[in-house]
Amino acid sequence: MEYKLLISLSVEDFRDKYAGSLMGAAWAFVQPLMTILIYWFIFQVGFHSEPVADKPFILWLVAGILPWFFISEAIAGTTPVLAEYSYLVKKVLFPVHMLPLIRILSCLLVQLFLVLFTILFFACFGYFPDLYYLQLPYYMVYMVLILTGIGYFTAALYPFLKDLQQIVGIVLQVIFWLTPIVWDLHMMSDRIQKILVFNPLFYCVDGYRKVFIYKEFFWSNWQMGIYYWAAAIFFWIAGKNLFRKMKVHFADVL
Amino acid sequence: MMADRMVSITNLTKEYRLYERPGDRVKEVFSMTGKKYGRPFYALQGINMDVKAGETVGIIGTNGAGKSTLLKIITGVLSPTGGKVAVNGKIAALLELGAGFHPEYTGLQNIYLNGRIMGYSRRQMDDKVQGILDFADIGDFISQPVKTYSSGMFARLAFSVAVSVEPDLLIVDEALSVGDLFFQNKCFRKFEELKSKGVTILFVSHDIGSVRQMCSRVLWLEQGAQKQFGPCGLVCDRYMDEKRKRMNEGTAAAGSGSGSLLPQQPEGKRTFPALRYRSSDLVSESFRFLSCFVREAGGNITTEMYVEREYEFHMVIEFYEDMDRLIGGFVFENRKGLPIYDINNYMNQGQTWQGRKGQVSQLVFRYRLPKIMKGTYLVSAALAQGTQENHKMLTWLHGVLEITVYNDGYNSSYIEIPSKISLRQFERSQIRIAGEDET
Repeated sequence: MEYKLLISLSVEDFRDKYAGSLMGAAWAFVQPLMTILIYWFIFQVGFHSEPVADKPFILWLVAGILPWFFISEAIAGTTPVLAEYSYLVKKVLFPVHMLPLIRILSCLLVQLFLVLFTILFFACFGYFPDLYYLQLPYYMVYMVLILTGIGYFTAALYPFLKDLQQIVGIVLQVIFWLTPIVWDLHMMSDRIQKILVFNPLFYCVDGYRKVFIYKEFFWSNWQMGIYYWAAAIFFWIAGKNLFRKMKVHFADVL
Repeated sequence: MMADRMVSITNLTKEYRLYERPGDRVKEVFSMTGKKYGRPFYALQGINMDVKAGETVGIIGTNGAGKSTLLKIITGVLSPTGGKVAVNGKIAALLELGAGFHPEYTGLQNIYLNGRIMGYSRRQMDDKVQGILDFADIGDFISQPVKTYSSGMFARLAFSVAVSVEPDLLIVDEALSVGDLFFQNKCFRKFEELKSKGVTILFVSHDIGSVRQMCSRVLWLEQGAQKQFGPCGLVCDRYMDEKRKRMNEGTAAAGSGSGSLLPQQPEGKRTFPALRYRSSDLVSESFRFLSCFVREAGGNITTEMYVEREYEFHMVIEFYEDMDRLIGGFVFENRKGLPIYDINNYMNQGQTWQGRKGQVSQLVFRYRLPKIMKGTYLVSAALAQGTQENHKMLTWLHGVLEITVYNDGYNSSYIEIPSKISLRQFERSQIRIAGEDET
């Protein structure tokens, strides 16, 4: 019963975000497209970036930035979710712990459409789906897990600390540039590379590129894979625990 | 033992902490040493209550007494700071207007949303929707976003949804007061129906009339503390009594209440009409009300009164013991239990009186009926001992008389008062408003 409620509320959360606007859900896709266009223009037209693994730079860019759309939307969206759903937190008996997940699944919906769009986009360049594409759900599950952990954390703190939304915005920007998304990891020195790979978010960015560009399976580097999953589970447990601890206060402060 | 208890609350406390800065709350949660940063404020303290299955319990008290907080804790929305709350069964709560409704969704979407939250599938709700729509009766608005609803429509829809999910415990917090009379009446009939089905109801209202009508027991809260929990009539009387006392504080003291009302001792035999009343509390062994009636000044006993005419209210009491410092009085209430006026010998005359063992006292209040709205009123009579500020209620008889009041005036409000009205006219230059520039 509960997962049905979760699914339908997630769909409604997605619909809700664009309810009342003229173009509706189309906005969910226009923004990422614009972002891609801007980066493509700067790096391809401006900096004359080279093709990667024999594929045009734009494809390499799209593959890497695709999971980032999900990550940034989910973290920025989950932070104020309790305040936005205060009518469910304060006034009726509702399983509040579902709210961050509802927001993340609603963002996942956008991600699914964007992935479909990307697959089509690659097909236009003559790269058709192959076995490697089957790994996409694997990376999505990973992202849902780690983002839920982070989301529990920020959502639980936000009611007490409204500044968090600004902080999250800035931190996201920093992480965006610290993660090799619009630049290649190999541009850095070996020492810096060794540090950067410990960023758990790098796993999904790199993973998507392995699917679309490099054509590698996720078990090719299973030692790091274990580390990434451990990090995600750590985030999840820590976030969930904090959320549980703060839960009794939510209705008091919202 | 536990099976027939729907709600049991033991020593419940709800503490809010007031913080100087928003960050202090976070500091406190993360504090390793358990250091407290805020000042405590007790919204509820030491509440003990148990509600049996099928019972209707009212919660009364002034604003800020903690009624809503208590309901929210029982619902589970707020968590108690101390004590225990146990609820057996499915709860439907009407806590606040529009609670659990998404303002952007249409009425219909909200019905399904609420159903889902309560654990009903879409198909199960499909069967209920027609009943909800019929009861709410808000017409085409059902396909509009609920943010466009009037508060009355909101209340109707919310109530309809809450009762449709077949709760074991229905919690209603004042939400119905925004509905019109017709809908309120419909709700009360629904309450009766639910009661007969064995649904337990917790009901907060400022309208003592409807609390009296519906509840078997009442919890009276005052400033977060439990003032009294007991049978409905008893608690409501004490509550109203205290309310009146507080309103009279300072003013009634002017009566300098030392005087004593001296009885006349007329000769001859009298016949009084028999006493009938709807209910009474605090029956005393020391005396008995024999009769209460209204007489036209110098005329016949009647149950019809015309405004601006003189009447006498009589109460006849037989005493089995000597009693002193007595205060007799009555209150004229409209149908909803709103007191329109009340008179007693202490408040109005600053005097008390004595009852003699084996004798009968007849207390007569002569007054002119003010210009009140026409309609049906109920008279309740009471006898107390002491002074207005500090008295002990001895007995309270509800509805000893039903009076029809006639008024040929406007009847547009409860009281019509005479007024002299005049008109003046000025040039603009003659007028200056304090604080405005004289340019």
